[in-house]
Amino acid sequence: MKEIISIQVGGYANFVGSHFWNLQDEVLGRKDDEESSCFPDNGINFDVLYRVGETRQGLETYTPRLVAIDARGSLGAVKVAGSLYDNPSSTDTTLLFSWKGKLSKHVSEPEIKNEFLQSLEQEELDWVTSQQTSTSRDLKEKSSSVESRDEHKILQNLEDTVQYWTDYSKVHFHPLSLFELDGVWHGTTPFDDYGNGRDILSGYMKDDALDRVRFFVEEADHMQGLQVLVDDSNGFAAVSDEFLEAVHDEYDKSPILLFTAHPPPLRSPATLFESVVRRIHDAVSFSAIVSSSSSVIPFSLSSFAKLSRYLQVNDAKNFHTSAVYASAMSCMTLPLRMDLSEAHSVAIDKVCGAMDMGDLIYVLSGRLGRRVSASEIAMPAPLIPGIERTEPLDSSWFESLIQDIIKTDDQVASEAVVVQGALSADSKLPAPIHDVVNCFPRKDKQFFQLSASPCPLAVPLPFPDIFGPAKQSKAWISDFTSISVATKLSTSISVLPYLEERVLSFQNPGGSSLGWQVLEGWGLQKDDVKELCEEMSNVVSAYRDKSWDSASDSE
Amino acid sequence: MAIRLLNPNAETLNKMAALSMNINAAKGLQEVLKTNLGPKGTIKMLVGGAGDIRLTKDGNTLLKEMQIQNPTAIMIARTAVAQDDISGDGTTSTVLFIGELMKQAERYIAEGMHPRVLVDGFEIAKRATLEFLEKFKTPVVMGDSPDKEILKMVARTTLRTKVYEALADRLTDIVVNAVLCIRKQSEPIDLFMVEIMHMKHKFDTDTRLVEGLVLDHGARHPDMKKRVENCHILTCNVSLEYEKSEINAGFFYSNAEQREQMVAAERRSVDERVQKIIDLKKKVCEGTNDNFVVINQKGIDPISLDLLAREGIVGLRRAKRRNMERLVLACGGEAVNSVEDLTPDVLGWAGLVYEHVLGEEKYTFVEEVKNPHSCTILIKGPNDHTIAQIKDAVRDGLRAVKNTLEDESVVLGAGAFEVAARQHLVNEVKKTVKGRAQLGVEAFADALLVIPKTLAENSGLDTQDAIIALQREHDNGVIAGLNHHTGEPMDPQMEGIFDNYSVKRQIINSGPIIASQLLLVDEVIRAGRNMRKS
Repeated sequence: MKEIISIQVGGYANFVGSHFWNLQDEVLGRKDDEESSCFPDNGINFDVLYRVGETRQGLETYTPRLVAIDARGSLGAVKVAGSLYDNPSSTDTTLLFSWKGKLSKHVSEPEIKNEFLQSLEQEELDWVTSQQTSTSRDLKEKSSSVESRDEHKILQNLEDTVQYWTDYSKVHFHPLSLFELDGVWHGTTPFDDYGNGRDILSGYMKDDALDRVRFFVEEADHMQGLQVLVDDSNGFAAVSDEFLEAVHDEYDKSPILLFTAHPPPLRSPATLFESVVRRIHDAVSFSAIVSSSSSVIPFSLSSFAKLSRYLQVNDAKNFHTSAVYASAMSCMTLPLRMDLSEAHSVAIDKVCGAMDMGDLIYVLSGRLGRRVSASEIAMPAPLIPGIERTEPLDSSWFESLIQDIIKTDDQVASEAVVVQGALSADSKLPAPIHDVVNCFPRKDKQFFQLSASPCPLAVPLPFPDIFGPAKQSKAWISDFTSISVATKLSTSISVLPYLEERVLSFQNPGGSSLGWQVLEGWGLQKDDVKELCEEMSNVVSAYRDKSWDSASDSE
Repeated sequence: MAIRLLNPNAETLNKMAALSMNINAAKGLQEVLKTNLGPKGTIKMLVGGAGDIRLTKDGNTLLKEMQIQNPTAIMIARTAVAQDDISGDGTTSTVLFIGELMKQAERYIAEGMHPRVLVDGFEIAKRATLEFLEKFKTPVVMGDSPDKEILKMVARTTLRTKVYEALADRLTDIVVNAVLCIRKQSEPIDLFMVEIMHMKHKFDTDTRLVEGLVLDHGARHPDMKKRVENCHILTCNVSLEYEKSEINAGFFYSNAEQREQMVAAERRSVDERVQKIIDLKKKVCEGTNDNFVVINQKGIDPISLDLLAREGIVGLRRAKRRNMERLVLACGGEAVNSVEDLTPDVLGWAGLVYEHVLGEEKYTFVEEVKNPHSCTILIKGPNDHTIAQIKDAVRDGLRAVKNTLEDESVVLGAGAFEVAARQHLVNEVKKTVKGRAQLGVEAFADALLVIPKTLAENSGLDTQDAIIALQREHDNGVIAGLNHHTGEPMDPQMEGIFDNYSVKRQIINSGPIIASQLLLVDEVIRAGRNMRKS
């Protein structure tokens, strides 16, 4: 088992992260569920992402190895130290021991817990009572009927009201996991672009944030790497950049797998100035952060409309879009959580294609050292034809999660495909792993890794209802408590447009003097920009020149 | 104008409206921070929407806790926070001073005076006040053995405005001893060499100075001893864990066998590094009762830990980067980056190393060190917000001591300087100024009084009586500050109330600059949208 430390920076990253942890938590919860066939003993090792701890009261805890950074006030009704290790702080002013003089108390309007969070609390209370009275079976039966009625209501309530990422988080976090940035207030501080985030993370605050990461790293016996998810749509891009550079500096030999995500823009830029700022922001953020990571996977759809005819995703709701990215992320990183020891011996039918983060990055970067991957998803995953029909699956099942992309066949690209819970075309039951493997042949790719698990994505209650069209088609699944997913990461030249756009913004910032004004306003000197520009050119060159060379070589 | 062309959506305010907005913002901010000032100020308990608590008596912390939207207020807050970054204190005073300058200016502008003339007067007064400060300050000589009493007085003056008296006095001794511990002759003081560590403890609320180092982690092997005496300390930054060779684009294993070989070779080289440490341990410990402790910045994997444990070595992994430096300063020896450098000379020494466990938190104390140049302030408190408040106070106290050592002078406190400077400006400087700029000097002089006035107000005293009494003393040539218990003038020297020279200087310097910018504004442009909301 090799530990992964997770880092999330920024509002949208935490929206995605919240779903990601819910997805993990759901599988974890269903482990004990005897009814479903594949979740128990699924060959997934949760210790990779989670740590065992203990409260002062001696209660054992199981929490993500996570540091999540966000703005002040972005946690809604959830306390920054979580509630697991809580010894509730009293606001009783007579207990104050550091000051004996006058005191004034300023109380913000309390954030009301929504129905979902309330139901979680109730569930915990019920669990405690059931433990005490040992009539768990009765209680369970009684509550299950009530539950199904309530579930729909709770989900509807979430659809309508989600404001903070904590509104739908069902995971308990360690007190060191959630980190609020001082000086940046959710919804108040202007934080639209890279410039706003510069120099925010500094001094004691930076040390403190790094120390949180260190806490989780120190515990790890064999850290396989850091899984980082950042929101690159606003000032958090600069915060992430600053933070990741320090992390990379500290753990220089550890791989860093970076996901960058931003929500679909709500509107297109209204003025020339706005669009210049946006373009430069995208270029600066990307090139600044790419140097501190081993491999980058951007999520940047500007609309989810074409993603899948079985899904209905509302572009305007972060609650929706982040759920898709989280599903993709969960699937892509599944091989990193597969139990390596088991995969080699007993559980050959449980998982296939386990690897650690170093391996994944090694495969993806390939011979040319390509560092940016195009990501694609098929949700639900394609149906697996039986053994008699072994023709390769049409790659059109997959849809890109990056906006600017060309679909092309790139011979030297590396690919890492993960398929989880794919159903057999004949029986509509989970397909055996060897059938799945047969369907995704090595092709002519030099570096190709296929990982598969019969265990589908377990859909937790606070997952948005995006399966409308699939439900109607009835071609797939009877219930929607789980869904099959397949993802493909490839370092093919199809990401070139995405990269080139960022290079262009530098070579001619904004097409006028405006660009330079913006860059200077952010405190970037010409030398800084030149450095960023070179970094970008390096990244791009691994795709451009050599790919063409070797393509002609093979002819 | 150029900016407006850039962003036609920006909202502009005309000159008078802009000026009045600036004045109101400065006054508003002053109003909020005013009650903080001094040993009789009000502590603020802020309770967030989810019930998170923050406690603050410090202007700097309070400004960070406030959701400020007004651009003028943001500008003032930034200046005040920068003040804290530069000199470690004086945030509240800066905000009060700027607010008061704006208030005074408002009066004159209402009478038809042009802001430009006021600003000229401010500039003259500022220069005169800074010159006066040079004469007024009390030089203190800080040679090989600095006057501990004066250091304590400065630290106590600031700490008593942050925490209650008895705790302030306790922290005073701690911060003075801490700074003297890390101070090296003819080298700048690096306060990072004082580690500040905290433990949450329901009943134990003691804060103490540990001469040595407290680390927030422990050994990760069950067989390693929890308490060892007479320890050789190896401080190192050497990877003692198996890790894949760096990902290299050009290189690929040609087959599985080659890969296996690489893995085995890497493991061997880790084991060799561990063996070199064991060899050194044997060399220095054999035949003695001495122990050996390895504190590593990089990782130590279970196999390596096991090898070390079998030899009776205690090993800690992933130490803070800064602790590499601190350990060497505390224990002696050198931090090594390679096992090739291992000799007995690089080892430090500690009389006692022991582990302390609180729930899942582990602490390792490295104590009984010889002649330490690094130390740890260990704060214990019942909850996060109290710990945070004490931590802020400790940092301010450390800065106050450092400033005193570097300034080699202090300034009489309790409002004595402000009253003296005001009298100097009004009685001496004003006469030398021609024309209406005189009024600017006067406005500046009166604005200085905001400090003693606010001190008196926060102490529940009659402000006017207190100020008149102080001015009378100064006109008679007696330097007096405000006794916040009685409202009578007192001698700050006798009471041991001193402020940092650099802090005062910084306040006098930056306050008028911001006030002038705010007064000379032509128009205010509001632009920018809010952060994306879900």
